[in-house]
Amino acid sequence: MTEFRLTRRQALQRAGGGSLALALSSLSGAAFAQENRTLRIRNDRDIERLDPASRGGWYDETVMFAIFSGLVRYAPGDEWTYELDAAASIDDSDPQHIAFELRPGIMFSGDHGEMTAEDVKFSYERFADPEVNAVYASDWAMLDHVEVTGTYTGIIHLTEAFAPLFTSTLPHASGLILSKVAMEASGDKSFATEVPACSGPYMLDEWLPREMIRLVRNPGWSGPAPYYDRIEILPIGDVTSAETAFAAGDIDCTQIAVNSIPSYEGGNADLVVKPALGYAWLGMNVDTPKLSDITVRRAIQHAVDVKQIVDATFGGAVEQANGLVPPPLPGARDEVLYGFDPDRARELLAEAGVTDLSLSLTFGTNPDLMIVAQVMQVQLANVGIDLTIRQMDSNTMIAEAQDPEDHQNIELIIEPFTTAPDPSWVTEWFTCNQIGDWNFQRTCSEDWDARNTAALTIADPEERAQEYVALQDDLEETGAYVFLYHGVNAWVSKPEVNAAYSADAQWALLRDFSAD
Amino acid sequence: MSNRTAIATRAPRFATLRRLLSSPTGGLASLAVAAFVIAAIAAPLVAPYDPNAINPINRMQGPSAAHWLGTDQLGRDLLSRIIFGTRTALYIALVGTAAALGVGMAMGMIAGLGGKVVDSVLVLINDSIKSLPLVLFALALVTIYGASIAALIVIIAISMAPGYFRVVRNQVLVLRSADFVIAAQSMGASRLRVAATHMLPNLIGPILVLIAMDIPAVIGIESGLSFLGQGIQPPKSSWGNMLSEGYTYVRQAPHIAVAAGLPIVLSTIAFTFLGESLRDALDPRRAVRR
Repeated sequence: MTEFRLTRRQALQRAGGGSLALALSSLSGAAFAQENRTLRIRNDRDIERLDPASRGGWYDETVMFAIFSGLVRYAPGDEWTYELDAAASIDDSDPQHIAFELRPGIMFSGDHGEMTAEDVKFSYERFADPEVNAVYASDWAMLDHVEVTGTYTGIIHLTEAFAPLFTSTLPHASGLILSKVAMEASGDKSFATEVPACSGPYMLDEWLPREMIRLVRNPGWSGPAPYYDRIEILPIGDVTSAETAFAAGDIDCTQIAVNSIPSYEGGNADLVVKPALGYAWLGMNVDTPKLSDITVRRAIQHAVDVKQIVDATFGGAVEQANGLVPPPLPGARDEVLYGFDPDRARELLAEAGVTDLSLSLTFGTNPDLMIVAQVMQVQLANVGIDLTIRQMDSNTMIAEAQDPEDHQNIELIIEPFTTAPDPSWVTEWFTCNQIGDWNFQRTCSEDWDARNTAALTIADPEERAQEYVALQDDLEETGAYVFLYHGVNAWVSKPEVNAAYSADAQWALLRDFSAD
Repeated sequence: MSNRTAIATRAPRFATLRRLLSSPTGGLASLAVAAFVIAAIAAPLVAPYDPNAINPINRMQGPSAAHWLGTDQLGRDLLSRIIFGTRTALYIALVGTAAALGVGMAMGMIAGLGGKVVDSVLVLINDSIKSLPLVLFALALVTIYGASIAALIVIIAISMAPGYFRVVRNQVLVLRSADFVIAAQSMGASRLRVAATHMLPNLIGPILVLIAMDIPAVIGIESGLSFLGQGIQPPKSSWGNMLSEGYTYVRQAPHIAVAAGLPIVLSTIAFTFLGESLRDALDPRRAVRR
């Protein structure tokens, strides 16, 4: 048996050694902490599809902009401008033939090699592949082909000049570049959340559905290094819960409810409020018997006091809309054609021979919409229309609105949309071929569709803006639309976090976040 | 045992009421329940404002002389909405409980008086219903048939009926061998007559207690479904809806959630205490001990 003995000298030596070890470990701990800078941010939904051709929405795009790069990208700030990303240069002097040159040395994650012009060609041309079934095929509707002229160089050939190319295609998620090698190796034409290879500053490290998405640095990224080593994205649907989590210090940054803006003003948190690129409107299903008469629809247009609705819902933080296209974009309207006039509404209802009209208003589980609906209920009651409120899960509502038979259950509907910084993104949902998809009003005019398509190629910005104003005028003339609001996006972040957002603050641009 | 039960329930009714009101909890609970009932009946007379009148300029105002409990996100008077919400809550609670009682009692009587097979089948049915997860069952029903007061009442009737079934069945099984029941049967009384004349009066006590205890649960179900947006639909006032809306604005205007939560808490306490006090007042053994 070995006896354990310790002399005073040994004790001092060991104590000294221990202190040194502790000091070193604390130093290395500090270094470790510095190397593992983590941002914890809320996403209002979990990721669904990260494929640029068939992505879900902004909740996917927020992640996609961090893990993929495009030729160009939206610059953070208050203006809708773009900056070079994977491209070293891009030449847009010829609107039908866009020449580009990639920065050498951008490596895809997972040993899938260097990004080349072949990857650009593959990424953009796949939008036309029927097997890809691209939801966003219209973004590349005018693409003829991408010509590869060298390892890093190529030319994007368009069939016609395409006005949205530099506003809502190349800098947006449809312009992100995938690895051709990785996609071919996967054997699939598209993907959901199993990303074959990342081309951005970050890569997907772990996804715990409904719990957390963790991004870590992409070692192959050779562009400007992002500040944070790790980003933990927490899908928190309920905005009140998100605000509580922020107040408790559990997250560094979150979007907040518009009604919460006053409570953060002058506080410790950094508050950012920007006009949203969104649009909410009251739609009327013209295929239902009660709303087939334009006189009735016109009466409803006159019965709704949009200003009162917006004031009641957002307490003055949001302006009423005059159309679908939000104000920063060309084509935003200054006034509506058929505004609030309850007397006229009553006259029109009498003219239509309608008495005791009873309608239902369907919308998703958004608390703001419940307020909109309740105010509208009072306003329509003032002209003799009884409004029943049908609030339901958004997915169920959309499925009902798209169903060939069940769409008859939808009479009035509100479903706010977000959009990209180009008016074509706003109007494309109201065409005849969108009936059964996103045209819940089921209004259809082939002439309108043709003009809407032609507007994509109008080069003169003034003329293009006028055309989009006219297109919205025509939609309002159908009587099936009452334009409500565009909204604002509000975010709060901890004071030490330097947050970065797109011009409308719809997206947190994660790769641009830093800290003091 | 059976004789004692029979004797006790035939005691003077005012004696029970006196016993109920003489206990501090019973008295206070009765007073609170009476206040809720009066508020529900006289809502249009006692509410200071139209509960549905919106006034966006006054939205989310705190309590004041003009609006004792403040206003909600649409500038509606919270006190008026709570008073009218009482009407909704009690209406659903009473109709829902009555429906559950009717179904449960009928099935309980049949099970107690019927043969072994009938009893086993009915027990199985009731146990199956009782094992359903209430919230999921309610949400499924509302999704299929839509949110309405009628749907709520059906949900309550189905989910609460097994409780009444069990009490009635057990009581009937006990009373079946009571001397006065055997005497009635030997004198040629039919099953229906025995059930209606001799057994039913002896069931009233335990059922009254169960009703008083179930009403807060029903209010909870209605409030819970309304909180989830699947209960009472606007513009009708409902405590659950108000609580749900209050939760949305809890950071900016916490008074909305507090005001909406108070009647739910108070009514639950009042009806629960009333039920317990009623149980004590109707129980002869407790009365003797007292």
